[in-house]
Amino acid sequence: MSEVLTQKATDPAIRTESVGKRYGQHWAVRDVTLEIHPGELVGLVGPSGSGKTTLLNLLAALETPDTGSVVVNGHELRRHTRGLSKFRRLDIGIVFQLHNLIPRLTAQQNIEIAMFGTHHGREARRARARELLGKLDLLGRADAIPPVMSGGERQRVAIARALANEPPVILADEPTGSLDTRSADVIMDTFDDLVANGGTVLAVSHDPRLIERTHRRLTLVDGALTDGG
Amino acid sequence: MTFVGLIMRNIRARPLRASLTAAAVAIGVMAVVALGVLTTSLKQTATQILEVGNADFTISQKHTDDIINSTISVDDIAAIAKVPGVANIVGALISTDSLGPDNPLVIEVGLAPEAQGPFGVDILEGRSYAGDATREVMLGYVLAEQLHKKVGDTVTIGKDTFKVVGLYRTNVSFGNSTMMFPLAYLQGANRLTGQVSLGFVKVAKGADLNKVAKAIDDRFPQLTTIRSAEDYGRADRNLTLISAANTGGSILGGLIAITGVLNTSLLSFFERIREFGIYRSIGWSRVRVILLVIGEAVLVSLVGAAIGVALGWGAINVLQHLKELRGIFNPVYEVEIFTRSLIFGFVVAFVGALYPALRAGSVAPLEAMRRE
Repeated sequence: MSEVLTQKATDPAIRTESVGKRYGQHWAVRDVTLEIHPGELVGLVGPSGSGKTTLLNLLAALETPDTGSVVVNGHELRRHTRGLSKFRRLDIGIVFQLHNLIPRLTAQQNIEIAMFGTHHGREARRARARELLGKLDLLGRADAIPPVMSGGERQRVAIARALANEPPVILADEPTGSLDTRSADVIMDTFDDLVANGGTVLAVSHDPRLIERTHRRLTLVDGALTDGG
Repeated sequence: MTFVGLIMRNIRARPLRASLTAAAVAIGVMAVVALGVLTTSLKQTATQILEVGNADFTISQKHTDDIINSTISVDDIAAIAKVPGVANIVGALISTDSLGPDNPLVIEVGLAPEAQGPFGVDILEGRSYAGDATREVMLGYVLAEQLHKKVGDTVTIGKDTFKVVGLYRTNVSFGNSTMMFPLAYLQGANRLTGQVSLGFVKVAKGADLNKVAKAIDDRFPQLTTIRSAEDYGRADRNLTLISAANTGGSILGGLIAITGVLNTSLLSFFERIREFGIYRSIGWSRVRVILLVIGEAVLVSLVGAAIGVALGWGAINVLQHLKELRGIFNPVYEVEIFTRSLIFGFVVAFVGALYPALRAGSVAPLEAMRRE
């Protein structure tokens, strides 16, 4: 790990302490303190605009906090730290609400590019991508490009990409929202497998099917944690 | 999929952009190749005069704009012949004339018949002109072929007609495209009686060439000795101008190509800003994103450079057939020119893509992904 990301031997996979994020005068996240441990599947709920996605972005080091501290997988994420690319590549997997796949690359290639810069060689990347496609019931769509895939298929590819480097922490934003039952089930089964093997999943969701299967839920209202922290 | 495979796929995904970038580089490289070959060839043609008759060095008037316009009095030539260490000196008058629209520029050499041997002239057919002849001419065999002339034919220059009495070959290729007159006649025709353009010096065996040249330089301050292409460049300003034009043209070509690459790379950056944000969000380092953009530009530019080399070669062929350059432009294809062109393509791609690449590498992932 980079010399500027300090590693601490802490038990929680995710820990925040009084973390806050402000856009202008508006606090999107306020004074949030939470701990999530390995093996937990946690749901993050709350009304629209309550700061769920912002909190997820803070944990993914896509935003920097204005107050407090964030520790993920033992790495304290500070303002303007270097080495964040490696952190995003190896310590976390991010599933975006809008999938964010590269439209001209096939499903398999979209997964493979997440493994650039790791120890995986060309064949290993290919094998890992196909393994994940199989696990997410997408092997038949390996050569399809995102524009010709359904929303459920795209979301599953995005999850496969997040899992490519076997990160210990998955941060997912509405991973099952508006998906058909079959796609949602595949995704939830994947999360179950992950936490059963010691991984950690924090999922922002409005989907009762997913929330039901979480171990606990955190509720965010107006940027503040009101329940479950 | 490999990283290079991704680069190639990205290029194929934007054929128009890639073509425009390649075209910009091709134009630049074409200019570099064409100008490079033209300059090298003209330089070589010009400097071949130094090698005439295996002379050790040539003497010209100092600070002349064109070495052909140099004038040296025959008295000075006679005086130089007496400088210790000089074995032999041949004075030759050089001028140019037109043989009509098809041969607008022909080099004429005025030489005494007895100086032909030391000057490296080998008569292939016919005989030499007489020293006092006024209507006799000899043709270099390449010029004779171009004019479809043989011994016994006539050549008309302006209002004067000359009988071709002999065909010759010289030890330098450009000499074979010249025509040769008796020195006295050419001096009179050019109103340069008692003058020659250049002196070709052969140093005596055992004499120190540098010392002999220095002695001449010291004793004849209005003249200069030319021992190398660099000396030639100093004596002949045209050669310096040709080199400067080549440098200027190459720089201009480079600027055109860099602007082309920069323009298309910047447009591409703005189109793909979301994509770069995605790469960064899934853990790609800045360096990897920068390498992606530069890699794409370099690959396209190398293709453009290859096309440019082909276009440059085509341009040289067109130039070669220009009547104005006939006889003085014999293309010299040096590996160095083509190597330089490929390096030029690489540098152009790197410089042109550097700024867009740095911007791509420094996008804030979230901000970039919000772009449509």
